[in-house]
Amino acid sequence: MIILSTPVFISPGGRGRRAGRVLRTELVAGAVLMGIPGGLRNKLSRGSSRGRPPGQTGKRAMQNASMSGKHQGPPQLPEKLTGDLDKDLQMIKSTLGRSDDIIIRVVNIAGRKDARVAVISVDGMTDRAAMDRDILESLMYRARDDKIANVPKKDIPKAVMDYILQLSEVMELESVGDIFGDILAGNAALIFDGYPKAVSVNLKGWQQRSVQQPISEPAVRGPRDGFVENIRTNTALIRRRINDPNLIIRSLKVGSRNPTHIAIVYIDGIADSNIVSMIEEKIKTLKVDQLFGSGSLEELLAKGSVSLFPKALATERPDRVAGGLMQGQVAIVIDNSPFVLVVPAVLATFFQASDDYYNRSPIATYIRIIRLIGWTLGLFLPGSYVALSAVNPDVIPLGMAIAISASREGIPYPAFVEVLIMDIAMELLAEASTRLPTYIGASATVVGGLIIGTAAAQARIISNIMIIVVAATAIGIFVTPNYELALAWRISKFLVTFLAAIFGLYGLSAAFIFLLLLLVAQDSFGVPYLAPFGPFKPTDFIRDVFTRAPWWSIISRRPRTFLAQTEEVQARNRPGAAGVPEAAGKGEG
Amino acid sequence: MDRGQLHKGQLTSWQMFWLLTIGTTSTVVFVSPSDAYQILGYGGWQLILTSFIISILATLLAVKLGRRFGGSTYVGCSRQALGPTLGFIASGLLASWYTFAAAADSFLLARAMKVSLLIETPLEAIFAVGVLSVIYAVWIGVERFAMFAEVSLLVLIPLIVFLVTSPLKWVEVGNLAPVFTFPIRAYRSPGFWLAAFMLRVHAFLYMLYPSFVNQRKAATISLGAIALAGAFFAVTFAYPVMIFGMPVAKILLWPFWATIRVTRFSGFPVEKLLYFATVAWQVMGTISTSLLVYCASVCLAEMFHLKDYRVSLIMLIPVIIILTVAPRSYTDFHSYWVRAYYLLGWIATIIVPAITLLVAVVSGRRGNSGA
Repeated sequence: MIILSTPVFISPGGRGRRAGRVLRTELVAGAVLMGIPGGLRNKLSRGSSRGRPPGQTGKRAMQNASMSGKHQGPPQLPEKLTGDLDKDLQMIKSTLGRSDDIIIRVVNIAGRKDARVAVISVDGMTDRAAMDRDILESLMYRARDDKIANVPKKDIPKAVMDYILQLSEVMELESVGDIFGDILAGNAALIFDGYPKAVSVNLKGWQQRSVQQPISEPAVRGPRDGFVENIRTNTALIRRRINDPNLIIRSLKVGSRNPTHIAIVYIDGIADSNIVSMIEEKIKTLKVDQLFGSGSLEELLAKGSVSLFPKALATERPDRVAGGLMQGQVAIVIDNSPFVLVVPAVLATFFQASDDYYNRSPIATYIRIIRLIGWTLGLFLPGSYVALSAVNPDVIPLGMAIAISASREGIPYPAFVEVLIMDIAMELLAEASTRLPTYIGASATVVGGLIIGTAAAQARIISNIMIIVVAATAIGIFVTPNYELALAWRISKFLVTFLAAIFGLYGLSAAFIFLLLLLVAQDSFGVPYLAPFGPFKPTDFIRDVFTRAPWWSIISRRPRTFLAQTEEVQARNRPGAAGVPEAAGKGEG
Repeated sequence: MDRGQLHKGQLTSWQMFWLLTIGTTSTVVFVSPSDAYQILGYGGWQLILTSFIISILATLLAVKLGRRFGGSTYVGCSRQALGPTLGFIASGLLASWYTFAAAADSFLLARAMKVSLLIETPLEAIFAVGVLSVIYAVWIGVERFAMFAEVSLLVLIPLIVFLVTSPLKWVEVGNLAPVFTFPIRAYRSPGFWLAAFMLRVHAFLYMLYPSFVNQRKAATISLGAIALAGAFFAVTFAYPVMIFGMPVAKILLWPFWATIRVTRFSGFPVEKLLYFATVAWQVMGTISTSLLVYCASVCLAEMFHLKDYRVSLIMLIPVIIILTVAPRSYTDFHSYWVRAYYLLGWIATIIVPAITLLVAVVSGRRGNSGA
């Protein structure tokens, strides 16, 4: 690691220029200390205490570090503050203050020489305007008019909290690890001279993406808001849709070095308490340095099993999460991720799209059947082509067999190799169009799909019929609304094709059996992955799997698939029920 | 039990019903009609009726044993009723039958696929695919492959309805007329009694009884399964006669399968009904073979006090493979293996358990929680 250091300098800035100095400290490039929670304190304490010798300049330190080739470990961290502001500041500067974005501002409260306070924050993570107005101006000027001017020194922190800080979230912190964690999370910490605790003020205010339309799950008729990278915005988006006092949002942190905030969201009384406990327990027992978004959490929660198939629904849509919560599912919101996990998730969940619930029942059912046909084509068409053209041509009509044979005339390799080449080419195109910027991605698809395909057919490298098969397969797979499940099918397709190439139609059936057995062996937080097919729940199956029953039917009872504690919901809303006119429920969902 | 969650080794009534039904009917389609025709010709219906009655009686026997010994498997029942040595032998016979039946099922399925679809492919290769799926199905546990059976109904029911209704246009009901005038004289033939071991619902019950979530319904569910399997047996008997007539049906290798093989849908992308039949029988064959292998594994695990049936599964697989590839032709298989299967079935699943129950009743022995 290269340690760059700059001399401490005075930074003029705004109102702060009038009253004090901004101390900027050293930057540890490449290894910026991301967060120091309480749990890390001990680890830090065990680390090397070889700090920079007093008086040595940063440049020298850098040279020394480069020459020795050794990395200066994190300095020793005390348990608590001493109460002596100078000593505490020294400690903060030598640890947290090594990063250039830490701002330490020392001011005199109400102009009193004996009442000093240091305001510590991270540049870019706190609301600068609020900091200047609500903290610095209040402490330095407004406090003069208040009772604070005559308060004994030892009572100043309490008086500041009671009279000066007119902010909603203020709390005292004692442990240095907690204080540092709080500062790094975007809060401002006030450290008083003569007081061994810090006062934390919630002034989080960093730049973030505004609520926008979900990119991965567009809906024609549904709402346009999608989750963002901020956990609180995301929980608020859920709360906005469910004004139920039983909607519980339980916060946890995962990651020992860089704690990530996680919120478990569920409706008490609907969600199965065992599932909630299981999720909470699993999250609490995770031992990781940090969490890389929703994907890693999903995989970590399913520890011990390797599966092609997604076990949690990752969605960008708050309406989808709200719908799941009302059915008894549990949502896991992760800070810094625009995807919220909804669990338990069964296979049928991944075939459902938001639009299914905004369209009328027959239309939604029609679209689902189209998806099912697409899935069947996507998974079995290449295999069927190989089986029927190469192994069992006797099963198809003679005319068709002749057409396929004529189309393949002059193709130098067997049907299986032909399918394999085209499938891999299709995979390359799909991956390219996903990774490339939109405008180039579209061109790549056109170039790859149309031009190369046509040219390959004309050059007799592949048959014309193969282009139809591959195109239908690709479209069929992409019809699956969930990207992760579509990926799983894309991989499974190779197994199907491989078995079909060896065993023909028997291989196709064998692949179907293998896939079914693989799916049967899965579960998501104790719920069988193939529910409501197996264990068979006829009502759920009819209402919301291949078909989407009318809303009045869906809302009359919760599905049993997700083990909801109560199945009874709004039964009185059903048309014809006591007090409900016949027209009720026949309008738009 | 909440049907929404899986409990290891436990089966719902619905799952049990389908496991028993599919486990019983999967081989009937190949073997039973030809046996019925060859032994009795038009009088084959008597075989169906007798098998049906025998299966009901044997099922009641299995349920009675299960109840008497507090829901133990047959291994526990025989150990308690007959003592450790005789109990071990009785259980060993049952385990042998399961193994033999699993090998027979695998052979039939692989053979049917070879004859119908994959003439040039080695039988061993076809069989290997089936074995892999069976091993995986048994490995994941009975509650999982019971769910597999449950889920596969979505495919099986439409397919079977399709299979049974598709050849209807060729059916000549008049061909069945001699069936109803055939005299009842079948009982004189020893072959008749041997072949009357057709519906094997009771055999599964010996090992699956403790897995019933609702054991009180065991008899009802099993009888329901026998009724459905018996009905299917009757269809497989009647259909070839109605389509081909008895003289032709009698010389066909697999009469019911033959009706499927000759059915075509002109103008459709997949012209032959055979393909759909392949899927259906392959799924059914996987379920029935998995069930037999599971029962054999559990039986052996309990006999040798193994903690996990998967250990005995690993040991059992080579035996089943050897048994399956042993008969070199279908003639071999039908002449010796099917008869051996029937004979061992009678001894291991009817006669010995009946003696076990008799000894238990006479000596007043019953399980700890047996009612």
